[in-house]
Amino acid sequence: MRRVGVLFGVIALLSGAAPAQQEIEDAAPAETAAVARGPSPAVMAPKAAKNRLLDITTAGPRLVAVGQQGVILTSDDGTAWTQSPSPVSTMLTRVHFTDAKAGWVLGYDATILQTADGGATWVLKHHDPKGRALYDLLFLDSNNGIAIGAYGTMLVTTDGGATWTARDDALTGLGMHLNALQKLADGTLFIAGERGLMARSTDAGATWSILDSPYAGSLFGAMPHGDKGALVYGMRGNVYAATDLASCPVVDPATWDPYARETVADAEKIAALGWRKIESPVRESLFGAVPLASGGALLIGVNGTTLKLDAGAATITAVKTPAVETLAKGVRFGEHVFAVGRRGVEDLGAAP
Amino acid sequence: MSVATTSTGFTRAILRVVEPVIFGKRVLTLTLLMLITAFLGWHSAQLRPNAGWLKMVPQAHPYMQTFMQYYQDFGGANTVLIALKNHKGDIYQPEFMETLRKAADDAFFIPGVDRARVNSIFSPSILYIEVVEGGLAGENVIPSDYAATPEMMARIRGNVAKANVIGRLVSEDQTTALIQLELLETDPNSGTTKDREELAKPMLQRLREAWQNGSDVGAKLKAVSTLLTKNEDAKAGLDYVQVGEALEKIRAKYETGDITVHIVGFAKVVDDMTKASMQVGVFFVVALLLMGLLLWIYIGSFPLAMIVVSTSLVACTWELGLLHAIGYGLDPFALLVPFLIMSVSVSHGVQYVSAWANEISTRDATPYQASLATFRSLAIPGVVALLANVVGFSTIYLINIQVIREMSVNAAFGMAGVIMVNKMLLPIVLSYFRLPNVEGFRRATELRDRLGDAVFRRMALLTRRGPAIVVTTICLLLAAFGASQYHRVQIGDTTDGVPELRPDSRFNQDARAVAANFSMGVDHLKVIAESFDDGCIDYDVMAEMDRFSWYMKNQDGVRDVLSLIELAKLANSGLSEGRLDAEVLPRAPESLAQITALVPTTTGFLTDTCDALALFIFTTDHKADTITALTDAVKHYADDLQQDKRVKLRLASGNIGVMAATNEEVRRNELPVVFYVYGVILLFLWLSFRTVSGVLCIGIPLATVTLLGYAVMAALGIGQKVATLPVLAFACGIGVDYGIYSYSVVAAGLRKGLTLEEAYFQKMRSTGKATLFTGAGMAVGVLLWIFSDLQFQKDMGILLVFGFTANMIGAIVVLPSLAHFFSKEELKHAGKDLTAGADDAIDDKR
Repeated sequence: MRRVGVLFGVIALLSGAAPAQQEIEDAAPAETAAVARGPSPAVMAPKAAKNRLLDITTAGPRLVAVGQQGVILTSDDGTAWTQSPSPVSTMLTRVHFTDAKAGWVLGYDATILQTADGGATWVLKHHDPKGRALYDLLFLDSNNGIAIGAYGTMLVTTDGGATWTARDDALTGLGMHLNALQKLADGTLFIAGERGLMARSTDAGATWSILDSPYAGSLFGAMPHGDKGALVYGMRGNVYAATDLASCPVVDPATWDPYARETVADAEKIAALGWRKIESPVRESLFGAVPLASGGALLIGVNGTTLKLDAGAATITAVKTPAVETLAKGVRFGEHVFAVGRRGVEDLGAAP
Repeated sequence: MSVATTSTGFTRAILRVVEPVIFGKRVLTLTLLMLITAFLGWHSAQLRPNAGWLKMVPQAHPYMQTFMQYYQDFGGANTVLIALKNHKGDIYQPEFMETLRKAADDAFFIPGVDRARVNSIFSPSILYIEVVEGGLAGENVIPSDYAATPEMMARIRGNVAKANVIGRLVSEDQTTALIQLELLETDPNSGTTKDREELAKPMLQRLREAWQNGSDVGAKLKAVSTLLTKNEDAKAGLDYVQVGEALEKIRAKYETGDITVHIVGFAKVVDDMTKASMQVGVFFVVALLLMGLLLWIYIGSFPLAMIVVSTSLVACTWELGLLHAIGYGLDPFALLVPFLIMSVSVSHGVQYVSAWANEISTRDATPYQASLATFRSLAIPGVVALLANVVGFSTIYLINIQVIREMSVNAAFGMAGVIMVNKMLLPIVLSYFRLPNVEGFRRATELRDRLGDAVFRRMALLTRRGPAIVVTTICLLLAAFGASQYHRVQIGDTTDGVPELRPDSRFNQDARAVAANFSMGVDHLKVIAESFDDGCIDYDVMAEMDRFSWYMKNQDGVRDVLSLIELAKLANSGLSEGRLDAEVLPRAPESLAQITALVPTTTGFLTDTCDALALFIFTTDHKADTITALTDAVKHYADDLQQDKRVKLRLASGNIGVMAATNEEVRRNELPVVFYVYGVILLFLWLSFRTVSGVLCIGIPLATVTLLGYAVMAALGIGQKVATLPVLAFACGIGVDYGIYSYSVVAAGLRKGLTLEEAYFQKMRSTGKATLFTGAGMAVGVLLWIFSDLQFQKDMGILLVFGFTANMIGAIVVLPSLAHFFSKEELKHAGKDLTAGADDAIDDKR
C-alpha cells in the first residue's frame, strides 16, 4: 500500500499529460482471463546476448548468464553465446553455481530452476505466478538452502531444492526487499536489503538479527570483507564496510521503521554502528561487485558506472570502460571482467 | 483505280466522316486546333512539380487501411531526422548544446511539422526518473533551469543515460544528437481526419458512394467525375519543396567546421528528387535537339524535320496542359511521360512525313493530294496503333497506387495529343506545305533509297526458309532464357540507402551516418496491436505485447523494437529504485496503470483510451527480402505463437509498412498487368488484321522483348517497383506500334499479290526504315536518363532504351522471319485494300 502512495506522488510530480488511469475499475473485462496460467518456455532468441541480462557467473570453465524473457546463455569464450532451453519465460535475476555442474537460477514469479550439467539443461523446481521475484540464493550444504527476494520473501529448502517453504519471521515480516545473501568467512550469514536493511544470522539462518544500519537508502549487494566483516553497496554510490559483523549493534525488529530512519552522516556515529563509509566519486547506484585478484573489487552500476575499490577497501576510483548503459553484475573470466546489463554481455576489458 | 474495287467498307466509312472535317474545313479546323493549343500551352506553363506522399502508396491495401485508421494516434511514416554531429568531442559541450537547442526550436517552424511529435533531448516529453534516498526525482533530460554551462552539461550527461535515449536521440558514442520530427501530409490547419478516412476507402467504394449520393443523373455524373479527376492532395497537400528548403536552411545555419548536420527522411527525399528531376528538363531539350538532327538527316529536309519536331511539341503541350487543367501536378515519376509522348509523336510524324514526301517525289502529287493519300493509308493503322498504346498504358491504372494511376491518365492525355497532332494537325499543315526544291529532295531521296535498297534487299532474305528458321529459333531461345530469369527479378528495392537517389548522394551519405550511430533509423515497421479500452492495464495483453516485441526483436533485419512495453518497463524500474531487475511489467492493474500513465500519448505509442498500441520495429534496411521476412514473421506470430487472442496484431504503418504494402500491391499486379496489356494488344491485333498471322508475327517478338526485359532487370539488379512497373507496359505499347506499322504494310502487299519477300522489301523502303529510325531516335531520347541523379530514372532509362531497341529489332528482324511461317493466311483477304484507297487520293484529284 505504501508503494502506491509513492506512485501517486510520482505521477503528480512527473505527468501533466497522463492519460488513462481514471477508470481502473471498469478496465479490462476480468471474466475473460485469456491466457492459460503456468509458465511458458522461453523462446529461442538469437540476439539475447545483446539484450537485458541480469546476472553472470562461471560454472567451471564456462560462463553462464541469465536475464529477461527466461534467457539462459552459456559461453566458453565470452563472445559466442548459446541459449539453453528454459522452462520459463519470466525475468531471471540470479544464477548461482555450487560447483562446475550444479547450479541454480532465480527469477520473477518465485521461479527456481536447477541444472546438474553445467547449465545446458534446466528443471523447474519452484514457480508461482502470484509469488514475488527472488533475488539471491545460498546453499549451506547439499541439502540446506535459502532463497530471498522481493517484499521480504524467504524460501528455504532442506531436501536439496526439491521443495521450498516460505519463511515467516520478524525479518520477512518487515516486507522489505531482501537483495543480497552472503556467507562470511566465519560462517555468519548476512542479508542486505531495501532501505538500508541489514541482518545477520549466526545459526545458519534459523534466526535473524536486524542490525542498526548507518544508511537509509537501499542496499543492492554485499560481499565478505576480511574474516568476519562485510562490505555493502547500494543507491547513489553508497559503499560501507564493517570489519566485524558480530560487533555491530542490533535493533528490535518491532521498532525498525524504514520510513523514520535517516542516513547517519557523522563518521564517528557510523563507526559506533561498526561501519565505515567509503566515499565514492560517482553518485550512481551500484548493483554488482566483482572481486579482484589483487584483493579489491570492481563495483558496477547505473549508466555503465565502474568503480575500483582498492585492496584495503579505503578508496574508490572511477574506471573508464566501454559500457554506457546500466550494468547489473559482473564476473572475472580469464584476464577479463565480463559484465551484464541492459545491453547484454559487455567485456569491460582486462581486470585492473 | 476506282473506289469500287476496294471493299474495306468500315474503314472507308470512318474516313468518309473524318476526311471532310480535316481536309474539307481545314482552315477552320486548323484555327481551332491553334486556339486549343494556345489555351493548353497557357495551362502547361503553370504546371508545378508535385510529389505527394499519399500518392505513392497503395491506399486501398489492408496495411494502408490500418495506417490511415491510426494516422492521428500514431503518426504516419513521414518522419524526418536531423542529426547534429559534434566533431569536437561529445554533445555535452555548451556551444554544441546551444546549437542543438536552436536547431530543435527551428524544427518547430518547418512547414507541416506535427508540433506534438518533435522529439529531441530538449522535448518536455523526454524525461527520466531517478531514485533518491526515501523518494524519487524526475526531471526533463534538459533541466528547466538550463543554461549553457559546463556544470549543466555534466547534469545533462547523467540525465541522458538515465532517460534511456542513447541510441534513440543520442548516438552510441554520444557525439551526435537527433531531432526527430513527424510531418503531416495535409496541413495541420486545414486537413481533417475525415478527409483522410475518406481517402482511405478504396476508389471503387468512393465512386459508388458518390454515385449513390447524387440526387439525379446529372449530379451523380458530376460527383463521380469530380472524384475521378480531382487532385486529392493538391489543395491541402504539403509542399515538400518548401519543407526541403526549410531543412536546408537549418543545415546551412548550423553546419560549421565542427558540427555536421545530417538530414534524412521522406520529405528530404522528395525535395531532392524534385530538384534532381528538374535536370530532366535539360535532358528533354537535348533529346529534342538530337531528335531534330536525326530527323533532318533522315528526311533530308530541314523544314520537314522541324515540322515533325514542333508538332510533337504540340502533342506534349496538350498532354501537360490537360494534366494541369484537371488539377494534377507533375511528379518526378511522371516526367517519363512527356518523353514517351514526344517519342511516339515523332515516330508517327516520321511515318507520315516520309510517306507524304514519297508521294510528292515519286508521284508528283500536290501537297494536298499527297497528304490525303498519306492520311488514307496511315490514319487507320496509325490510330489503331495509338489506341493500342492508350489501352496498354491504361492497364496500369489497375494498380491502385495513385502515382501510377496519374501516370496512366497522363499518358492517355498524351496519346490524345498525339492522335490529334498526327492525324489532324500534321495532315493539314502538310497539305499547305510546299516542299522547297522538290527536284533536289527527289534526287537525295533516290540516292538514299538506292543505298537503302541494297541493305533492304539483303534483309528481305530473312523471309526465306533458312534464315527464318535460324532467327525464329534464336528468338524462342531468348524468350525461354528471359522466362527462366523471371524468378530472379526482385520485388521492391534491391539496394541499400534510399533507392530513389543514387548511392553516393548526400542524402544516402546522411542516411548511412545516422544508421551507423543510432539504433533507430528512418526505416521502421509499425505494427498496431488492438485490444480494448484500457488494454494497457491488462497484464495478459501487455505480456502478449512483451512476448511479441521480444520475438520481433530477435528477427534478422531488426535493429530494435520500441513500444509502450519498453517505456513501461523503464517506468516500473524508475518506481522501483531504478533497479535493472525491475525492468519488467508488473502484474497488478494498478501498477500497470501507474506506469503507463507516465507515458504520454504524444509519444505515438498508445491511443488516448489505450485500446491500441503501436510497436515500432526499426529495421536494418528496406530491402524487399527483409520486409517480406518481417511481415511474414508478424503473421507467423499472430497465427501460431500468440497466446492471448484478444490482442489483434495489425500490419502495418511506418515507412516499411508502406513499402510492404507497395511491394505486395506491385507483386499482386505485375503479372495481371502484363496479361491485361497482352490481352488487349492481341485483341487489337486481331481486330486490325483478322488473321492469326498478324497476331503472332507482332505478338511473339513483343513477348520475347518483355521476357528479355526480366533478364535485364535480374542482371542489373533492378527491382519491380512503382517506378519500373509502368515501364514494361510503356515498352509494350511502343513495341506494338512498331509491329503494327511494319506488319500492316507487309500484309497490304501480300493482299495485293506481292510475294512475302517483295512485300517485306517494300515495307522496309517505306515504314520499315521509319521504324528503324524512330527506334534509334527514341532510344537516344531516353538514353540521357541513364545520367540522371535519380536512381529510378536511371533504371527507367535503361529499361526503356532496352525496350525501344529490342522492339525495333523485333519488328525489323524477327517479324519477317515469323511471317515466313504464318503469313500465307493473309491471302484469304487477298484483293482487300488495307490502305483504304490511298492510291485513289491522287487519282481522284487529278
